Amino acid sequence: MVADREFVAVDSAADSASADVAAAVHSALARAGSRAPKHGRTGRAGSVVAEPPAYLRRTWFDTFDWRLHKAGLTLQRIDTGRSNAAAGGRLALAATGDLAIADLVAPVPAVGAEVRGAYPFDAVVPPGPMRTRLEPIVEMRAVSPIVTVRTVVRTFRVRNDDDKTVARVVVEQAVGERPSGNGCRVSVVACRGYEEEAGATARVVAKVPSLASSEQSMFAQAVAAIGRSPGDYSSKLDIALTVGMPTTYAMRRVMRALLDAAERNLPGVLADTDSEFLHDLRVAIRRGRSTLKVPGAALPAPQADAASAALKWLGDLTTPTRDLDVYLLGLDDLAAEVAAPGWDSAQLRPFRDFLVARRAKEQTALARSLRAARAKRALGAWASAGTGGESDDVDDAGSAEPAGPPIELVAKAAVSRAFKRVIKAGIGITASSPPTQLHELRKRCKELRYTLEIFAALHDPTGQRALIDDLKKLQDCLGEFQDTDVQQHAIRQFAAQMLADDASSATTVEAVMAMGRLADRLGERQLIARNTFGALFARFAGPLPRAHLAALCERAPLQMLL
Amino acid sequence: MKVFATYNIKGGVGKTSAAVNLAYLAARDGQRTLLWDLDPQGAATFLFRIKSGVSGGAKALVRGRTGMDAPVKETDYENLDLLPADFSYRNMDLALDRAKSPTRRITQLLATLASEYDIVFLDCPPSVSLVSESVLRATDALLVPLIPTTLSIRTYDQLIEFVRKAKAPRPAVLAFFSMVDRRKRLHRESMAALRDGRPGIAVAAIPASAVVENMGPRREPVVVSAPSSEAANAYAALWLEARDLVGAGA
Repeated sequence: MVADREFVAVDSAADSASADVAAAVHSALARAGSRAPKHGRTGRAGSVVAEPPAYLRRTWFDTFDWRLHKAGLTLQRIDTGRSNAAAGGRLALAATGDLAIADLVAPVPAVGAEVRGAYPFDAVVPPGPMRTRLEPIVEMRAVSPIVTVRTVVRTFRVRNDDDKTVARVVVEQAVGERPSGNGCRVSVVACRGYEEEAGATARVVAKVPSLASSEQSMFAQAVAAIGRSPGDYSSKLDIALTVGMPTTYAMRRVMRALLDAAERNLPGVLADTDSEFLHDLRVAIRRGRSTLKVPGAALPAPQADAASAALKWLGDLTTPTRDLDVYLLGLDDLAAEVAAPGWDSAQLRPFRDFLVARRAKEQTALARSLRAARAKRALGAWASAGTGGESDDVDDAGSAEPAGPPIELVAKAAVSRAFKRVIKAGIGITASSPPTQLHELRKRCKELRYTLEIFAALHDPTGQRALIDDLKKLQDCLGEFQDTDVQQHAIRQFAAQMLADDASSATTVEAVMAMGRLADRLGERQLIARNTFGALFARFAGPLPRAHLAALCERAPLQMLL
Repeated sequence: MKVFATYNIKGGVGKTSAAVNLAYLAARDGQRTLLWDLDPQGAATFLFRIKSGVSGGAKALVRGRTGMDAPVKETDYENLDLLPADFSYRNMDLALDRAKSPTRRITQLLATLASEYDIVFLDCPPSVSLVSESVLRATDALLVPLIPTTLSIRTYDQLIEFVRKAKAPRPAVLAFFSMVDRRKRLHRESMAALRDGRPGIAVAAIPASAVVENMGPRREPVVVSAPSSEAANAYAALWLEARDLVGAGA
């Protein structure tokens, strides 16, 4: 059975007892069955069979940034049985909006029945078609339970005159404390090939008093009941800036939004849930640093300076762990690139183990530092830049400090300046320029990117998207150039360290030799990036990105006129 | 997708009983299973309580005017669907004859269902015809029920010859004894004689049994109505052999 064979889903009033709803549905179906014309051949009418009640616990999973929801999917684990020791279970993957109907099912995952916290994706979804479908969506993220609902399910099988089931009417009542206790849901599920009969059944059910058409899926309802909404976190910035907003207020709003993003990611960094938490924390920090550098940001110098120093410290603190994350995330692809006859990727295991151990050490140090007083002071300095030293819920308009010019003027100047700085930094780069010069250009590109993102609400979306697309191509090339540069140097240090630790081991020696191939490949990739840079930069410095830059600034005057 | 066909030149030898029970067992293993009732008599369709009939009949299906998925009905068992019989299937030979590459047509039609099903069972009518030839090319394993009599030896040898001469790809053949009454000496001797020098005969043998006969009135597989019966166990064993033959493991 799949979703498109579901005909209707109706909700009862929240406080209706499911047994009453089920009895009303049963009786309506039985009445309709007895009224149905008897079939000529058998001389019999249809019938309704009530199945014994079943108890379910439904737990929906998603990544912290709702990747499944954004892909239009829901992943739920369905455990059967009354007790915590589940009698059986399965994973069901469905398109958003489906009610318990799985497009893909998989056996119960390896994690225990009581699911709390976050889990590596591999621990939740076993190998098979479901994992294959989800892996490219979830990527490196962990998944965690969003909400759990316990239900009792009463199913009525509607049968035709051959006693063949043609539809199932499922009455599912959430039980237990809220958020579980969010009403009763009735759905009519057609058996394939019997859509007409199921349609007639749906019409009977729709006439049962106290039922109304359902507007929300069970998942959406359960998420709302815990005070959340799907997609309530995104790493994309969405800062409500408006044309005419005084700059000081706008900049404080930006700093507060970035601090909020950082604080939401911090628990995941401390718990080491997945590498993306640290990535998003670093992005928030960098965006904050870019914000403070906006000329005319109009934040008082002591606050801006303190925040700037705090953000630099926080950024530097997170670098060693992130560098190792980047290494580990790219290691499989890199190893695949050097695969050749006779190559055994198992040779790299000691290297991977070394990286994992080193990362664990760096992560421990990072978590310790982030829990320490200095980190609290740094976040405090960040918060002060966002509030002007007042409480978090400061009313922007109520502050007495200087407000500054309208934000769109400052934004336009900042974007324009950042763009020019990119051109200036890149224009002098030749084939013989040292890597540091490309590194500097990369920093300027990031600054432009963050400036664009911070002020996105003020820009024409089409122009913004086009300019970011132009910039992204250049950034990808510069990122590849620098990452491969850093990693080549690092791999030599790692090799030296591994040999110093255990030079007598044959596996270590083999690993170091295999690492040599990786280093060679990184060198090749760096050369490719270097060779493609010239054309990419020439394109970025050409007329099209300038036109996109002009287009994105077009929105502000229009809004001002309105 | 793996395709099995229950087939014998003779009728009334237990083809449909085997198709219904084995398809149920495949579905119970978690395999998405379809049973196509190719026999115009529609016995398998009846046993699943489904009404025979395909819009446009054999001609529309063969010509592709009716999509293969359109007439499919869900049975009362999880993972198991049925493509019903239609009385016009008696003329399927004619419809195939008018098609381009008639002996490949069933393969082409089944290919349209490949993303939906892991296992397909074809319950074939008892004949040697263009339909049989097309089925042979579409099938990974031919399951051949044999009543243990002297004539069966002849029938089996004819069938093996028919498969050998058919155009490639040719299916693996797994014959199995059906309606076996071990109290009868003739059955015991015929089984021994048939097995002698013929490797493609299953170890599992389906007994002659009231529970199998009762499939008609009960309209459900033996493995559902009498799950611990000797017949149910024999079908389960036969399914394991058939599954392993083509690597259609659960």
